[in-house]
Amino acid sequence: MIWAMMQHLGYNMWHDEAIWKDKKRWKWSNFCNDHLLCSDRSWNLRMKRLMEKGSGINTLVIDVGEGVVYPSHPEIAVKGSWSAEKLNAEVKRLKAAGLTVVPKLNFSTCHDFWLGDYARMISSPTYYRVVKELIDDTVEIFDHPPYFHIGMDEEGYKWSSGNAYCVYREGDLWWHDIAFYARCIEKHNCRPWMFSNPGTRDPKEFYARLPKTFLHSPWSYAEKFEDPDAPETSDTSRGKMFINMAAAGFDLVPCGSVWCSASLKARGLQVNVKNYPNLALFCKRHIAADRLKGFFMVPWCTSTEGGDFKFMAGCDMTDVARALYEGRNSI
Amino acid sequence: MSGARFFASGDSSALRKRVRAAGRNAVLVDVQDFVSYPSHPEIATQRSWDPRKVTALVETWNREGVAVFPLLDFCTANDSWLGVYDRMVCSKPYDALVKDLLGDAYRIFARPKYIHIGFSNEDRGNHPKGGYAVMRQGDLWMRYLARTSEWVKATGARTWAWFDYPWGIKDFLADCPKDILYSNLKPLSDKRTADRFAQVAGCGCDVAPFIRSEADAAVAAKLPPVRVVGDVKEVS
Repeated sequence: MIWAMMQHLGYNMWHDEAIWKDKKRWKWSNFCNDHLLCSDRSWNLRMKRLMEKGSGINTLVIDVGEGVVYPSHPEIAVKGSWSAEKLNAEVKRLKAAGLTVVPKLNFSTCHDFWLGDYARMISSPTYYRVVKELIDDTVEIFDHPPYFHIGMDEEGYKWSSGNAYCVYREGDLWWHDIAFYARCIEKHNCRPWMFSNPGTRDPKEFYARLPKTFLHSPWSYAEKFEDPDAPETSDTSRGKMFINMAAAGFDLVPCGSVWCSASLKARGLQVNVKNYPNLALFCKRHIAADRLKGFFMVPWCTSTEGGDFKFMAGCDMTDVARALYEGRNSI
Repeated sequence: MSGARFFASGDSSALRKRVRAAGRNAVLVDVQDFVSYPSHPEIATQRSWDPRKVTALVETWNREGVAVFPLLDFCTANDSWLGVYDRMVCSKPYDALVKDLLGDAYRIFARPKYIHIGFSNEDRGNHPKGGYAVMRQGDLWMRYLARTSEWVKATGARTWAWFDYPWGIKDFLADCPKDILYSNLKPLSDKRTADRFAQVAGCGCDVAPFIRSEADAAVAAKLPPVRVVGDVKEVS
């Protein structure tokens, strides 16, 4: 059973240029940086937590982005990006401590600003060549991991409309590119893993065409998961999504978070402590064990000291969720 | 200047007669991939003309007193003629390509006074659904309007563009390059288009109204005459 935690190495996954630079005219700033945001101190602190005896986490998903100097495309790196050797050594150290270490390269056009100039060449011949080479590099750096996460969340006008450079794929092109990523990954005997909410896509078509060869992470950050037979609410609809996907034969690693929505923040909360334990209990009750491959905690925090609190909370919530799932009274 | 807009697929001699009969002294050619660009032959398709054939035709028209201006539409909703480059908008190879194509167009069209760069509505509504979509928004769109115009100027021509700016460009008048010649693509009989176009003419920009109806002509007649350098009509 996978109990996964996500850690950002790269962080250029949001907004390289807001529509308007003038903040009076536009609420969002630029998120991308010309240097790596990941601090060594935070990294070491977090890895120590993951490797602690008794930790409920057995899988680390590293969102690599611009965080490494890819041998085939060093031009993607920023100041401070790790060398391939440094990351490979860290992967080996973590594996030796018993963790499964999984790379994540988010190819959603809403989250691929780490690609630099190539994020402006989506679905071009150059793009396909670069993506293939980056996947090859990453598989080597991660010592041929069992899984490879490709992100793919939030692609569409709805999510990119706030970017100065708004690009997205729809219809057959999106499915073509999903199949392309899969081919690049599967040739390494590695299983693709993706975020799997349909978003603005037609759910019927989405689930009909979604490859079952992938490991799927539908996500919900709700505090509670109502009985699926209860009247339809946003909580029940997400719960039903998990159930329907499992029933349709998809292998699931449902994704939760300690991230707080605006309504939770309005209640003075900094961390959502209810989502992950309730997600685990809901899935245990409603999803067939042979389809439930694990759980994925994404704390959505920076990889600097300011994000340590949320990361640690994500670890703690995983410990709690796992204990509840396994029917233990203590963690 | 009084121009006619046409697509370079018809019989040129017959078209020349129609243009003269309509009292026009210039034509605007939507070039697309109808010419094989010397700097980027990879864009060419089976329908592309040899650039020497185009230049010979342009010189014929010029000798007869009709100027020929190229239109290279770089609006991302209308740029599928760029081949693989239409999926590389705003990348370094794209910028190099646009500069190269403008230089080619200037030479092929025998040093035209104007090069039209399109730049009409680049928003979601003008993109086909269900495939690839890219659009420049806000500052980025405005920056590319100015940047593309600079590249045109570097050739020796003056920039001509549609003024139909996309959703979200609230301060077009404050930020738009004033040395571009602007034409409307949407009909002037549309009140919002007419109001905006009058504002463009009123803020010191030269304009050439695109007139397709009597209603368009009535609106165009009210524009500040000092800024109207000509008009555009379609010759059928």
